[in-house]
Amino acid sequence: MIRRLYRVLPGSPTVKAVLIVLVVLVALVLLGLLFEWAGQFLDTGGTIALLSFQA
Amino acid sequence: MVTVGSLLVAFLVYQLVFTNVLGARSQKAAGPALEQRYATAEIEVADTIPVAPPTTTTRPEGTTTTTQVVEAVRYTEPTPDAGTPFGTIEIPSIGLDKVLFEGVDVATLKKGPGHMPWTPLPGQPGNAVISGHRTTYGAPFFDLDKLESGDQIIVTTALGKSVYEIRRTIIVAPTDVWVTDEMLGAWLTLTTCNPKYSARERLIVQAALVEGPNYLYVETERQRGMEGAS
Repeated sequence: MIRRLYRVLPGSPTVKAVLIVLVVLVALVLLGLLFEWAGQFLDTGGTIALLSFQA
Repeated sequence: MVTVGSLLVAFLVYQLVFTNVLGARSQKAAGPALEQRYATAEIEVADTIPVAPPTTTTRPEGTTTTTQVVEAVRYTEPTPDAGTPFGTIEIPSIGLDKVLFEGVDVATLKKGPGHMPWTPLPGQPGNAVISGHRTTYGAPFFDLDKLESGDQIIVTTALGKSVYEIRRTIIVAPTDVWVTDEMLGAWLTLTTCNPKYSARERLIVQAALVEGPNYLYVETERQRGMEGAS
């Protein structure tokens, strides 16, 4: 997938490499946020609140 | 299919391994701040209740002895800042020993068990509520379902050591806020997710204070409250 992305991206090899690093970083952050959100279904921290999932 | 499977495995590794590493790191890092609090927190006398009035006894030979009034004292410690460590919780029967933090927001509970700020601090009269993760971020309350009536919970704060004895374990809905209600005496309520690996319900453990700096005060107050009610 990264190889395909490298081919599609514009610019010189250096620019492409920098863009790929940025894309991977953004993807990792988004994945982390997704995992954090999904983790609420696994374990919220055990708080009691009038609104469910309210910590 | 492979992508979905990989994402699922990555999710489980993130939740059940990575978050536990983060939790352990936060616990370790809390040590110096906790020591600092123990060293600097000023303990104050908030209230006193006379337990026994002064008595005068006259002996046959004419000498008199007078006893002084016995007072039960309620000591308080400063309210901890949000997100900071302020004590430890130990449950010997399940091998739990964790640093306690002030607050039950998402960020604080990632560090360790958190105290609900709108409830009294442990060791004080009323119902002190502590929440903790069951399976992630160090999983401090993983074995809470193994506790039995009579098991001890030891909470240490700047005030000293308060020992609680478990009275009941119940399962409630996540919105059953009544478990945090004020109670006569001094109670400690632990809350966590139930069953394991699900946030569907809450496992509640309630324990009564049986020893500690405020024990005499709490017992005197409780007895007076019961007498007043009857």
